[in-house]
Amino acid sequence: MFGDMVAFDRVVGSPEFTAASIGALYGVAAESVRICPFERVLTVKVSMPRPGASSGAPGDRDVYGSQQHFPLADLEV
Amino acid sequence: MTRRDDDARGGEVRFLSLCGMLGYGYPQASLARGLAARPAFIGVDAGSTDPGPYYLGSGRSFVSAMQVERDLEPALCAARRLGIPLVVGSAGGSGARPHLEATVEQVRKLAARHELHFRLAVIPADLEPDTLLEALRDGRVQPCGPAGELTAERVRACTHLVGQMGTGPLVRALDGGADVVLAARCCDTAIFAALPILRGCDPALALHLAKIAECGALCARPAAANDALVGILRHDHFVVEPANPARRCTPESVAMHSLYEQPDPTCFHEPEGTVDLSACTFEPCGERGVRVAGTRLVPPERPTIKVEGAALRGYRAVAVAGVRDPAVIAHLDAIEHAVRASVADALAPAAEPAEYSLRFLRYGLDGVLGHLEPAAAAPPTEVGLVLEAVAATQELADTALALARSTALHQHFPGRKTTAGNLAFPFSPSDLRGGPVYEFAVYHLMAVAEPDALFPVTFQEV
Repeated sequence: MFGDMVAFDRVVGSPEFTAASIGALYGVAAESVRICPFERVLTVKVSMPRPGASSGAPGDRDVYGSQQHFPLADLEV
Repeated sequence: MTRRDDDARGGEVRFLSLCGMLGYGYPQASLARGLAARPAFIGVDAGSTDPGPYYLGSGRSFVSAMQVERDLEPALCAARRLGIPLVVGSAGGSGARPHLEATVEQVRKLAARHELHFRLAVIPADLEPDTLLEALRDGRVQPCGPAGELTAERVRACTHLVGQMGTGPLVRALDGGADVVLAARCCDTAIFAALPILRGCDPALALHLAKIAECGALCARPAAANDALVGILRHDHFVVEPANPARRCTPESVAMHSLYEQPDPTCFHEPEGTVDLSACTFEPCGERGVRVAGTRLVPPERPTIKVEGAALRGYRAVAVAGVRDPAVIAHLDAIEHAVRASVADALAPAAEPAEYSLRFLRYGLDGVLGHLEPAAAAPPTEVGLVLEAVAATQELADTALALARSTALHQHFPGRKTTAGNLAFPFSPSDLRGGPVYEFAVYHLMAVAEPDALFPVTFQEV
């Protein structure tokens, strides 16, 4: 989520902000990364299948998947 | 309720959504204010798969009975007092038979306590494995997201199998004069869209409003899943407003909700079809409400029901310990390596390494992200270590964990200065029995000619 349109446009338009680069960050195939900009609320939603175990299955680290966004937050654009 | 929205025509349906999850709580004052808006019904979502497969697998509730009773009691009494329906969906948390039965029992108990009499509709969602197996053979089953291909083995491994009903069965219940509807596993939207659809409201608007309302005041600011929301459905738009005057909805906060739990903000899918939000407008309505218009519904190519099931994967034991010694922290990898070898040796030949799994979660290092965590610039001051064993039996899990824990406590490593112990245990006993571990084995879409027929409605006079 962005504070202004300038930041939103910069990230969404950045050559670094792609399914391939995001997929590489999480170790998932680029084809499985979905990027959906929602300009109305200056937000872009990135979705991907869980890289590891399904929610709550043995080996899962994050049942709600709620703390996995940091690699994306750290992406340089 | 704000009086500034004067666009009232006939056919308006108002309702109150108690909170985002039955059992999360809501302020009594919000219930009172919500009731003052003269709702046509009270609805509440009682379940979710968000907390993982344990609850569906085990038949247990995600929230405590005490929490559920606290939330249900005032709402049930209020609904009876006003003579309006109370609709509860995904009863018991996961909406399988034991969950539904627990809720029915709670409602009956509350009815007896307050001497309430009403028509109760109960709608189970359990599916016979054969129903799903036949669909599988016919090629009528698809994964829901990246769930993998379904096999007969996975179907048979499930402890419970439920289908997620749409509005149809709830409409039947309400049409049959139900005062209280207890639906097992159902789409969150069905809880709030059923009565409006029965009364002839636009299904697209009804489903969109329902999608927002099912989360309580999550679309408000400050957001709250444990507070109430009032929904007003009209001919060509709807209005949402939090019951609590300390909260307000804004066009952005409501539009933002389109991103909730779905990858694409322009649409979401229900059994009734694809709800298209791409042309929606969000405008302020009064001081704390938002008016939404422009939602469209695209009917499905063929009727489909989402099916859920969880299978037992083993039993868990856990130990939690703190590590403060920098030398231990520096050697955690080596210690883990040695512990694994030691445990394998100690358990053989009674148990092979394949029969149990050990996990070392190092909070402060990489517990949350695992290998995705970039290397830290400096080591942490302390690490919270969680040791976990999962095995085919509870006894083996307990044993593997006990061996791992005692070995880790006393494990030697280069540069070790104290033999008092590598770990600080906050509890005695240090080992906690975790019980059964489940995994979602079925999370698929089943195409079926008459989905509503899978969810029979029965009426009882309480």
